[in-house]
Amino acid sequence: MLWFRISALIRKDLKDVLKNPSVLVPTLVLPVVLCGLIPLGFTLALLLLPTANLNLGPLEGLLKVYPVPTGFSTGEAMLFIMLNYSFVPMFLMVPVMGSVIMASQGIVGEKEHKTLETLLYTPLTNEELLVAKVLGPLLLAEVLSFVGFALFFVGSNAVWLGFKGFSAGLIVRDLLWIPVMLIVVPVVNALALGLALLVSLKAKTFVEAQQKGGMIMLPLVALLYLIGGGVVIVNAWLLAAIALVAGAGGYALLRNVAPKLTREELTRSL
Amino acid sequence: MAAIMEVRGLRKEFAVAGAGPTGGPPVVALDGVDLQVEEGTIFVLLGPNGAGKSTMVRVLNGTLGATAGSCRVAGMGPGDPGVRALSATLTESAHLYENLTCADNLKFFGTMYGLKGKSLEGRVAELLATFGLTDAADRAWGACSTGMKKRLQLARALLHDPKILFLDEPTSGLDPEAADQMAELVVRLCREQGKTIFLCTHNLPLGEALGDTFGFLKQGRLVLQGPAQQLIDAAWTDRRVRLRTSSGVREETWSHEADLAALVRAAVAAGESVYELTPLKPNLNDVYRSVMGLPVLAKKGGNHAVVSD
Repeated sequence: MLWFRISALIRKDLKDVLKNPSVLVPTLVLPVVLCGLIPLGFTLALLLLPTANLNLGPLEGLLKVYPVPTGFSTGEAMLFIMLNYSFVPMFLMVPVMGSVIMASQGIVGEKEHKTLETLLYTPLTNEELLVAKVLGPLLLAEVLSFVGFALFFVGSNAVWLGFKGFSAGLIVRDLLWIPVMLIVVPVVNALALGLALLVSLKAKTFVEAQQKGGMIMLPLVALLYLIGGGVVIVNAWLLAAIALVAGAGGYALLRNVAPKLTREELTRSL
Repeated sequence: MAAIMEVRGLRKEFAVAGAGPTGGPPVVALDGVDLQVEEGTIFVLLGPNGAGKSTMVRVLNGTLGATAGSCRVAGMGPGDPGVRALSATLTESAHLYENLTCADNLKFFGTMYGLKGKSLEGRVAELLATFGLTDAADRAWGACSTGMKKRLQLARALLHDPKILFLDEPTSGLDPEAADQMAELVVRLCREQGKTIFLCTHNLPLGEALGDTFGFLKQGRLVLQGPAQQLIDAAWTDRRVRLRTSSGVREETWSHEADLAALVRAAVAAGESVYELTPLKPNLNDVYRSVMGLPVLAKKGGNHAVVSD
C-alpha cells in the first residue's frame, strides 16, 4: 500500500469538494447553522427575553433530571440544558452529513463525471482505493465536527460571558462533551460512512446517493426530538448505548462494503 | 517479434439481476477468445457496439477478471497491478477531472503512476508542451475544447511512458483534422517509440489505415484475426473482374492470371475494344461487412467484390 497515492487521492477529493459549490455549500451550511446560528439564537433569545415567569409545562421535569447549577433562573437553566445536552444530536448530524456528502462525491460523483474509470485504469490497488475513499470522508467529517464544536463552544460561551460576566463561568461546560466529541461522533461518523459507501456502489447520481445516504439523519432527528421533549435523557449510559449501536452498525456496514469496493465491482457499476 | 499479449479461450460473463434468488442467466460478453498481439505493433479490434471490445480492453488491462480462459499481458496475469503500471488506457468514457486544471490533472495521475517531485513536474511540463497545451496548463479541463480535452487525455495516458496503449475510439468526437493528428500520433508512438497499440474502433477506415493486424469481434467471439492482406486474400473466394469494352461494362469470373489474358483475347476476337480490366478485389471493409453479416455497399467507381463467408 503506497501512502503517497492514498494521500494524493484524498487531497484530490478534498480539492474536488472545495471547487464544487453544489458539494461545498451543503457541507459548510450544516455546521454553520447547527453549531453556530441555532445555539447562538437560543442563547440570545433566552438571555434577552423575559423568562422569569416562564412556564415550561411538561419540560419542568428536565430541571430536576439534569445537574443545573444553582442560582440559575428558569431561562438560564433551560439554556444550560439545551446547550449541554439537548444539542448533542446536532453534533452527530454535522459529521454524518459531511461524510455522506464526501463519500457520495468520492464514488458516485466520480462515476457521474466519468472519472472513476480513468482512476481504475491506474495502478492504484483496491486496498489503496478503499483506504482513500474511507479515510478522506472520515477526516473531513471529523474536522467539520471539531470546527463546528469550536464555533459552538466559543460562540455560546462568549455571548453568555458577555451578558453575565466572567464570574458566571462557562455555560457550555459539561464534561460529557468530551466522550461525545472523541467517541460518539467518530463512531456515528463511521456508521454514516458505511451507509454512504453502500449506497454509492449502486447509486447512479450524486443527488440520489446524497438522498439515500441522508436517510441516516432521520434517527438523529428523532433523537433530537426525544431528548428535547425529555423522553430520553442525555447521560453517560445513553452515549455508551449510541456508541455501541452505531459502532456495531458501522463495523458491519464497512465489513460488508469493503469487499465490494473493488475494481471489478466498481467497473461493473459504471 | 515476441507476443506481448496472449489470450486463450477467454470468457467473460456478467451476472444479471433478475427474478429468483440467482438472478437471470449471465450475459456472455466474451466467448472463447484466442488472441495474440506482437510487441511494437498496432492491433486493431473491430466490431460493432456491444461486441465486447471495451470488455476485452478491461480484461486485458486487469480492470475486470476473466470467467474462464487465460490472459497474459507482458507475462503478467489478469488483475496484476503491474499490467496497469506498464500500460495506459484511453477510452471514450474515461474523463479527467473537470474542476482541476490541465496541469493538476496530469500531476494527480502522475502520482497514481508513482511519479513524484521534480520528475513529475518535468514530465507534466514536457507533455503539456508536446501536446500544445502549455498555455492551457492553468485552465480547468472542463473549460477546454473537445480536441484539447482529448489531447490532454492522451497526455495523461503517456505520463509514465507505457509500453502498451489501449485506445478505445481515440478519435471519436474529433473534427477530421484533429482526428488525423491523433491517428498520426498513434502511428508515431508505435513506429518511433516501439509502443504496442491495442486499438478498438468501429471506424473501419481509421482501423485499416493504422493497423498491422486486425481482429473482428462479433457478439463476444473473435471471428477473424490476422494482417489485412491475409484476411482479404482468405476472403477473396469469388474472383471476378470488371471488363469495360466498346460493348459496355460486364463482370466475368476468373481463377488464374492466365484467365485474365484469355478474357481480353476473347473480347478482342469478338470485335470489341478493351478499355479497362479491373479485378474486383475486396478491401478490409468488405471483409468486415461480410463477417458481420452486413450488406455490401455499392461504391461509386469502387473496386470491391462480394466476399463469401
